[in-house]
Amino acid sequence: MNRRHFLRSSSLALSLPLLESFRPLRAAEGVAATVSVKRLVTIGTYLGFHTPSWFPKTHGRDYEMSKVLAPLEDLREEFSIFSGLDHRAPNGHKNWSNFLTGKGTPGISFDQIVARQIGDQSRFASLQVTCGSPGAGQMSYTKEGIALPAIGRPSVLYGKLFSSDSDKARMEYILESNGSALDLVLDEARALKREVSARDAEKLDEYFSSVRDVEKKVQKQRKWLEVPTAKVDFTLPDYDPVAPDLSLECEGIIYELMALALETDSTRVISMLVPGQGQVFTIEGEKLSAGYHGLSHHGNDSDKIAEFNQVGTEHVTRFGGFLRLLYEKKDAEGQPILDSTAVLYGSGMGDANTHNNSRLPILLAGGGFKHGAHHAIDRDEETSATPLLGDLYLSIMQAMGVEEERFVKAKRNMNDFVL
Amino acid sequence: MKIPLISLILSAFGVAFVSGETTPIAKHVDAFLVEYCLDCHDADSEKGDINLDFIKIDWSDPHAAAVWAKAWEMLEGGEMPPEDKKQPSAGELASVVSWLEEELLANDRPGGTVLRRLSRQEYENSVSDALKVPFKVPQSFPADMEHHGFDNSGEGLVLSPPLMAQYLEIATVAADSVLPPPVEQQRVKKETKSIGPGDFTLNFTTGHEIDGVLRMALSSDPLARGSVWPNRFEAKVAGVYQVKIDLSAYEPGEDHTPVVHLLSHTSDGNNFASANGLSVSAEFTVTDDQPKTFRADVELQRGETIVVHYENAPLSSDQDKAREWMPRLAGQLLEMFRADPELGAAWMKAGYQRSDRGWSWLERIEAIRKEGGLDIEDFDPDSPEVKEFAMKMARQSVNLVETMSCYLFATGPAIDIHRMAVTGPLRLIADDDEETQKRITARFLGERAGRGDREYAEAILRPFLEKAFRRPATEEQVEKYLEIAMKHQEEGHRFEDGLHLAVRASLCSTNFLYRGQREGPLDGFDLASRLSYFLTSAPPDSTLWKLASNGTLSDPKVLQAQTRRLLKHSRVKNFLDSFTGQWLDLRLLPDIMPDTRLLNWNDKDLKAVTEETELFVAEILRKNHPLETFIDPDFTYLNKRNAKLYGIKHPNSDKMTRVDLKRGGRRGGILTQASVMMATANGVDTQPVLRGVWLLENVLGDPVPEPPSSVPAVEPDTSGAKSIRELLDRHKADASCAGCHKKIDPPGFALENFDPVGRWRDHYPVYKKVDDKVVRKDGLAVDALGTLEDGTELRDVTDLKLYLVENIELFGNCLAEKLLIYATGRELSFGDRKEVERIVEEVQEEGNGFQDLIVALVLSESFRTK
Repeated sequence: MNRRHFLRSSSLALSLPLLESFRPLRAAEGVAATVSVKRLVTIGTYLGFHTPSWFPKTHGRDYEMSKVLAPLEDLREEFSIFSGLDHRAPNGHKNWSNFLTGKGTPGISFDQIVARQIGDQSRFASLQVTCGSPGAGQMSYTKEGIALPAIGRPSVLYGKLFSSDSDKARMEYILESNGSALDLVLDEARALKREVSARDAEKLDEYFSSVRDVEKKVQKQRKWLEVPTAKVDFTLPDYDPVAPDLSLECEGIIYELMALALETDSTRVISMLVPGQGQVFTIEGEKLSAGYHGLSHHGNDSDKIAEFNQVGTEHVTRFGGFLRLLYEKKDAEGQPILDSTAVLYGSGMGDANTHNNSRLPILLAGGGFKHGAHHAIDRDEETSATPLLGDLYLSIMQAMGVEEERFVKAKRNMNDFVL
Repeated sequence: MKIPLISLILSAFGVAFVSGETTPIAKHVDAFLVEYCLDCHDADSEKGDINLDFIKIDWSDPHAAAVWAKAWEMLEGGEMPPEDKKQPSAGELASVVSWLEEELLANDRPGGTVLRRLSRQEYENSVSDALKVPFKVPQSFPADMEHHGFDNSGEGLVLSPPLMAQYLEIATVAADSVLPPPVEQQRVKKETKSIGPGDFTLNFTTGHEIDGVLRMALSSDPLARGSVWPNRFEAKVAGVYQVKIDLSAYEPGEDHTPVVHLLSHTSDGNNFASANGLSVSAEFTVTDDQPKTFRADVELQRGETIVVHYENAPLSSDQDKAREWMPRLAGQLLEMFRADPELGAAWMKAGYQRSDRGWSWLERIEAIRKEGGLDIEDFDPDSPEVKEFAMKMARQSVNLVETMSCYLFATGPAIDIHRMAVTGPLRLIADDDEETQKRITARFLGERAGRGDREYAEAILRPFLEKAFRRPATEEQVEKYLEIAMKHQEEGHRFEDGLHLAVRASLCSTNFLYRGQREGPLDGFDLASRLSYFLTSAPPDSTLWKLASNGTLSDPKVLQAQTRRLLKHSRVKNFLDSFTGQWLDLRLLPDIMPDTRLLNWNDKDLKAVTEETELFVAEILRKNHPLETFIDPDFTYLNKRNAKLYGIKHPNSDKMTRVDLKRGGRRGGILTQASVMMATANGVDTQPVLRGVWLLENVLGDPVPEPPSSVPAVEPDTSGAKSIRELLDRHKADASCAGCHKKIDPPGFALENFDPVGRWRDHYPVYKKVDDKVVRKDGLAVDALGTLEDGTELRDVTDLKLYLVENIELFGNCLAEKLLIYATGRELSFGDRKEVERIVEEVQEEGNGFQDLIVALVLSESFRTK
């Protein structure tokens, strides 16, 4: 097989000169008549942000960029900021995960609703990632309300995405030989069906139809294996930065791998949990005065808030780097991947100091949506027209062709804001 | 008589659970139906979804059996015809009841379980047992659906395409666990990693970089609170690594000699792991205040790093012994004050403010010190005020320790890490994981490893298949699996790969995934499986296998002895967890978040209330206590948490202990336990209707039908103006509601004294906002009065307990039916229910022991029929 590097070939097709001289990255322009989103990235920081330093003080298109979001200034036409959104769901650390599930009890998360519908279009239905150890955080949940484990080791994520030839050979071998295993058990099941009662025979039909379905799935998996793994120009560091105090370093690498995963169409749905524990960060050569978690409980002490914001700014800086990567990388049509990728950034924590899960920091980038504004939602107004965060999710899903009528308590959309 | 084709097919395979016959309805019964029943229950009206307008009963239709059983129950209990309708004479009624009973007994026979797929837990245990390796399904494995109240019923255990895909995927993982693919040996070059004082992971205040060293002052046990480790080093391969570390003691004081331990720990493992639980690779005594190089060769497994732990630092945040750590901490703080009275005076002035912790707290104190003007002369660290202050500070535990450690960074005692270097691997050592794997593989392949012939393959596969399929393998079966394995080898794969393929296939086979394939009375092997999965959620062990093989398990004496043996087995915990968790709905608890206005609730509280019920039921089973114990025991299990909920004095500990109770009181038994009270409420308020329905279903054994969808639910008036009784009385005024509600409401109201977390209350709470704070006040008084249908007056839960003890057969029947449904995985037939009645009566005469009930059920025709 010609292991031609389809990533390269697609990047040859793009018109490179476009990239350079834009400051801001791209001028404001009209929005396409129909928004068609192909990918979804959801990112949540476990300890959230100091929201008074995160939300811009002014709203509308000419809003003044906030302190913590300053690293995104040149990207302002690429995203929208929302203040006052949440799910009206319970508070507390444990309930952080309602960020994507919309409620306090376990249930399917936003990203997994989407993955269930579009997951079969790529090798991995979805990816869950984090930076080092996720700590107590959980972000993505199955339909049954079971938390999906996240990969936090760059070398493991890299291995999964760009698996070696020997890994692929093993997978191919297992899939192929499973065929004969399934033949054998189908034979057995047919023999059994002849012996059992009519009710049991009916019950066995579940088995037959499930095996048939799995056989189809195996065919599909084998087809993915025939697609050569993209060869990418990326070198991992010679150590995995999984130590808690290196999680910012890890974050940067994970973002790069996420961009590569989207570029190579390895997956179309990624969720990323940016963890927060007691680690003491070193920022610009200076150790912070307390652990990250301790800073989040700042008790409105201005020095602690300043340091908490330093960490927040580091997160946002890396997020900005990710958006720029998605802008630089082009899809098969030569368009920025960002334009067909909805990127939701925020946290399930509205105020870590008091463990409050309302008024979440929320930012939506890319996806071809109408951007460039800060939308201040008056949460206190509590009318039926006051949008919930779930309404934003519904808008994103609609743009992806995922037909959902409601998301927990939300049953409208926020198309007026983003289309 | 015309016999439908289906019944011919069924009877060809032995006894089916319904006879498959058709019974013409006797003339006098038909006349009775026309006269008293069909006005409401014909095809047109079909009240309550019941249609009795037939001239014959077609027993091949399982629905028909259920309908006629219901009709029998209503007539026999005098519930039908309704009071306001024309009533039959006693003689008419008796003859119809006895005709129906006879027909039902003859045709709706014990048995009828549909093929049962293994549940999630059964599957996990079955894979483990077949391969003889501990095995866990992945987190993403689909959960099972509940059916007839339990997640292990044949009908509920649906096999869906995603589940089948998981089975196939897991089959490979499971086969890998005994027969892994060959691994390519990784070559790792020896190298030296230089680690400076800034290259360590710091959490909280575990270390402080100062004057070019990394200083440590804590010996707290969790790594993240007391240790540091290099952040860019982990062993790439299992081997011996040489560690050189330059250490010095910083102001250790006269009687303290610092000791430093090197520990090994997985670099991305749990940061809060216990240092005491890790193996010590080296111990250094640091006497010098000048850096000295310490050397040690340490063994590291792949992925491990080296943890540096100041083993005997005087200060730690460990709250080890329940009450000693606070005085100890206060004492250490006073010690600091004695050495530095100005610090003490400043600290007293600073006090504690919310979020004071580590450097920020110390800085606030130091700022006060800088301002000056402190009255140091009068500051006496041994005065009661200062002592009291120190105790008050000690309550800040971790926050205080972090602040003290920041102070110690300046004063000592502390140790300094100047630099560290790791060189390796000097030589390779056995990789723990690989060694374990080798042992597992050797065990699976047996003694004759190295051979690759058919006979050898058979020697491995036959016992494996029998274990997996839970019965002797037929020659044909063995042949098929051998064939696929050997053919694979002929095609150029390893011998192990052939076996791997056969293992994969067997774990996706209907013989592995489904149990209960043969009709009629269970044979020894199916009986062994039903018994074993019932009481251990796992396949039969070797003893049961042996007894099934020699045909003696069906002997009632043997079966009884085996049941008692399994009830003592450690795996009976699976039964207790699974059955109790579902019967008493303990599984719902993690999803209930009590209203924060009621109380602060955390995972430890949840654990306490759940464990109380688990330990309680476990003791009843273990000691064969009579069934009355469930209702009115003289003991329970408490720790400080549920004792506080109950207002019972108890030692201040999280350890669950057995506590004596007085019988007949407000506490004791499943009707009073916080777990059940929580599971039957929603965390915010209580609804007598929900608790009443729950009691009828799970304790009284008289379930009520679903409410008609047209009737809105009665919601409590949260303003507290109207009592729930007023609201319900209005509801009951409607005749169509009254029928069920006179059954539901009285037992439900009897539990009204228990709030949503099971605390006793005499008043409902009302919440008022006072100065921006929500305050709880007493609202309306709780009114738990009620009258049961038979006229029994209930004042509160104690009367309900008394009633149930006096009528223990109601509870006995309910529990026995639940157990039988759980054990057989089917909705009970008329014949099954009659069996249960007989058994409950017999067991009651013999002392009513819980174990005895289980044994009697296992011996019954119902249990022993598919």
